[in-house]
Amino acid sequence: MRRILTGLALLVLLPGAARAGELAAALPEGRLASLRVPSGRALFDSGPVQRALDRLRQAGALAELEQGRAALRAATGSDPAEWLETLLGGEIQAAVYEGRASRLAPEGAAGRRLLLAAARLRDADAGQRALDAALAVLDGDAANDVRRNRYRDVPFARINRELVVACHGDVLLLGNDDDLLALALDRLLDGAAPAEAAPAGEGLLAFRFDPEVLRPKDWKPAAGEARRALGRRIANPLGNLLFGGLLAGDGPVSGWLDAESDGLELHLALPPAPADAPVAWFPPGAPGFAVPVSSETVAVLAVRRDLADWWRQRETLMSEESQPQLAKTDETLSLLFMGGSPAEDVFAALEEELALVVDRQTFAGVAVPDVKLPAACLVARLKDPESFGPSMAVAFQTLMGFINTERAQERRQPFLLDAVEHAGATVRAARLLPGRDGQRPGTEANASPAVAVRGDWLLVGTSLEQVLRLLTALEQGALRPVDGAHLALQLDGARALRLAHDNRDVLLAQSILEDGLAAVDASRHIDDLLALLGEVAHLDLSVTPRADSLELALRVVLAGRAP
Amino acid sequence: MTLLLAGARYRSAEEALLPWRPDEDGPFGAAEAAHLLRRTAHGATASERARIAGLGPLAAAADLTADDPPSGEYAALLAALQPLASAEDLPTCQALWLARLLHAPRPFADTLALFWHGHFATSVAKVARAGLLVRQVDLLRRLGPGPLEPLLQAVSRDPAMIIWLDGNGNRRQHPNENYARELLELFTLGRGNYGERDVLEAARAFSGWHERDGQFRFVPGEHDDGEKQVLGAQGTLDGDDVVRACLAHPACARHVAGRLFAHFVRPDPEPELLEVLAARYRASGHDTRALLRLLLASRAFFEPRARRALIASPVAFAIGAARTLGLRPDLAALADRLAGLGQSLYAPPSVKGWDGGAAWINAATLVGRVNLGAWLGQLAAEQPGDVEAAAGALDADTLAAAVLDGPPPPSARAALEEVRDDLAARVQILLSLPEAQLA
Repeated sequence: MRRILTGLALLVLLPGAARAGELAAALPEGRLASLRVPSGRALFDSGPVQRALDRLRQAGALAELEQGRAALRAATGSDPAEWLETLLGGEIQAAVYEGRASRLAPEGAAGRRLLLAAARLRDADAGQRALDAALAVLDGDAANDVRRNRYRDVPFARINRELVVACHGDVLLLGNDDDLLALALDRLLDGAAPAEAAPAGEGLLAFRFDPEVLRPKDWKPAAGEARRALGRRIANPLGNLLFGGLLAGDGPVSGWLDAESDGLELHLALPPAPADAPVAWFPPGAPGFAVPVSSETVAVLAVRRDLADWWRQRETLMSEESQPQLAKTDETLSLLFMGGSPAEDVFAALEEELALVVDRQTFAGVAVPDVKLPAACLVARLKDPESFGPSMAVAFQTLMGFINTERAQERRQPFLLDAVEHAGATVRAARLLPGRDGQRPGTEANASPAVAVRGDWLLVGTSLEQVLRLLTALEQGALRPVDGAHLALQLDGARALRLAHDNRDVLLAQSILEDGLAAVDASRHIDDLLALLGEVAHLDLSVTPRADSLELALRVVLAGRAP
Repeated sequence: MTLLLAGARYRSAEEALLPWRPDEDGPFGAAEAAHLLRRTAHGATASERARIAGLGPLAAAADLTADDPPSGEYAALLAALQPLASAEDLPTCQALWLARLLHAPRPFADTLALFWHGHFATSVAKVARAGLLVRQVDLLRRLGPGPLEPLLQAVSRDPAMIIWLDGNGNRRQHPNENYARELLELFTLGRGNYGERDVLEAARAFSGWHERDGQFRFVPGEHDDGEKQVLGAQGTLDGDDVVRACLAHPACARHVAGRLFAHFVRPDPEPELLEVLAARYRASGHDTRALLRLLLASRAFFEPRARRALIASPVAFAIGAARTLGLRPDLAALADRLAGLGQSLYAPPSVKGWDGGAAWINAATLVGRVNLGAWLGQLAAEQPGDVEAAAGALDADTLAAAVLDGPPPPSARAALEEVRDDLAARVQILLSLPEAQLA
């Protein structure tokens, strides 16, 4: 099996030739998922794949593979990379099918997944020769059981229990089930019409799948439940707020992936939200808004949600287990806001556009903790800033009073309340009293909570320095547009890397403790991880409701080639 | 005193405390070195066992209890871990201590600190700040091997101890007896060696010894500077005077030396032996390192009934296995497993510490130890080169020699034969044997 995996892994080393063609006819109907790669060669040649291979090569991870390739070249006189180019360099279509359930499985349970791929060969004879060569290599390993036979005069080979492969004309068929391969051969030999259209889409590959395909490998039909959970009852309130409604609708997911030298793009069309989806997740309004950012902003997570509606419906939207905690939160919020109703007096005061801005902290003028956490600030617009602003200030002071009381019981340093005027706003802040001389600042030194209202903007942050920066941004009109009416995430790779570098020594220490590495090895390990993180210059994710789908778009720009 | 010690081959306590003479008393080889290393370091590699075996008992005991500053790779490791020194979360704090126990070439100060941690048992459950417990253990590590007086004085001022035993509530007008009572009963004298009046007067002596912002703070206004009488000492006593009064009491040396003997040698010291040991301890100025050097080189230590006489604590079992087999486990995960086996570092169950002994093993923890053995076995299979380097080879006999000081018991032979191609299973079987649960 190891040899088989090695052989398959060689695929990624190869360039290949593209040739247009229609392979859909070979694939029977009843697909759970379909994939179409217009050109295997273009996929393997794409920038991200080549960069990943370069990195693996540099790390020595491909050494064994390269040795195997050289050995095969020496033994056979031809480069196995060429075999794979011949076999998989052209158009490829693949599908996943539901297998028959075990007779011992519970009623209604599904069987194992069956896979079938069809690849267009550039040259039928060359393809057959390449396949024969690959099979000979596999057969040469005593650990493999390679059996050859013919079906309707078409030769095929079964390799152990994992693979069955055949060539017919300029089509290579590869699967994990004999019957499915036979069915595909029947279709080719009988000239069947395509049973289903291949996934459409631009780029290097296109795909379509039923969310049921995400079902785990056990017998429980869990995908439906998982989808319902994503649609309705995610216990974790934050998860519910962010991802609620994402897979609420029924229907397939389709999409495509494209890659350029500077990055890759993924587009998904998720099933549209059902008509009765809570307005909390899909408030009406124009998509897109703008968020203040600073020179230290690492990430922006933005959503459009009707928080008041979400809170009103918390008993149906979130699980029963989470209700006691939600009730306690409701009570605490009411207490902080002078007996007001959290839904009607707090959440209803906010517009639907909400963003969490994550900044790297510089700790200028304050104690620098060993573990340097990023700061996070909730940015929202207020419907009535004049009435809500004072309530927010009181709530903040009350909250810090509670926190200080608890800290006093644990004999920890208290937070000192303060008010700072900055960029036309009064910032309510709380700062830890400095520790005694020689006492190292703990992780809690990352926190200097602050609240500010400027115009109709509300900022609630974990760090005063970040809130001050964002107020400056508001004053200067430094707002960054955010696409996606439902959810959007923007990540600045270079700043994320700086944040990680800030914590390099801590990560190294954790690696020693948790990975059991020696200091030298841990240092190398962490630097490799940082180098990997450094590959990403920018990441953009957005989810936008459309008439017939929820559109998810992900774009990753690689470092050094950013526009 | 020339009493015959029951079950021992020596005629008197004095004789039992004489150094082990390799030629006359028995061999001093790999098994003796392994015994010594189990008690002082929880375990060691084959090469370390060979090195110790070459030193002889006296030099070996001196070597393993030496006060060497960290150097080389271990110093580099401690420096690399320094950024986590301010961590306040319990799993990280526990993992950091386990790293010392696992990686220190001579972890005697940490092994002893673990003893003192059970003796001056203080828990994060009440103290709430793991960082204060870490500082307390730093103190135990630093002062634990030395004389008892500075250790007791420092423990009396330790912020975690003050929070744990309600020192902040010990005020001139309302003395709180908690610390004074435990100082007399658990830390120095043992029950029956003090009276209630001693407790009350000692509490007054410690009044105003408070903690603030994680530091010791003497509050003169809350201190009762009146006349007191504790254990026969009289005057305007303060906490340090009470500590000195405790140390002057004959029961103190007996109590502490007895606990050290039970932890490092065997759980059942004879009264006669204890008397002699206490006298030596007192005469040395309650110098713990001196006492342990005496004990660890003695006939009493190496006689057969002291071998494998202790049930290994979860920490001793896991760290011992890891040191012996050269394993480098995820220490945060290990700390979690050890808590499941009843030994959560920085969180002893009560002021009395862990009961230890047979209490370590029950139906649940026995299964847990087998599972821990499986986990370590899996790790061994992932790091066979390290295991081979530490144990000498990967065959069952060599691994058994490392873990059990000898060949595997006949009852395990067949099982080990069945898994001769499976290192993980071999290690698990060996670590699951009853003999492997003994230190």
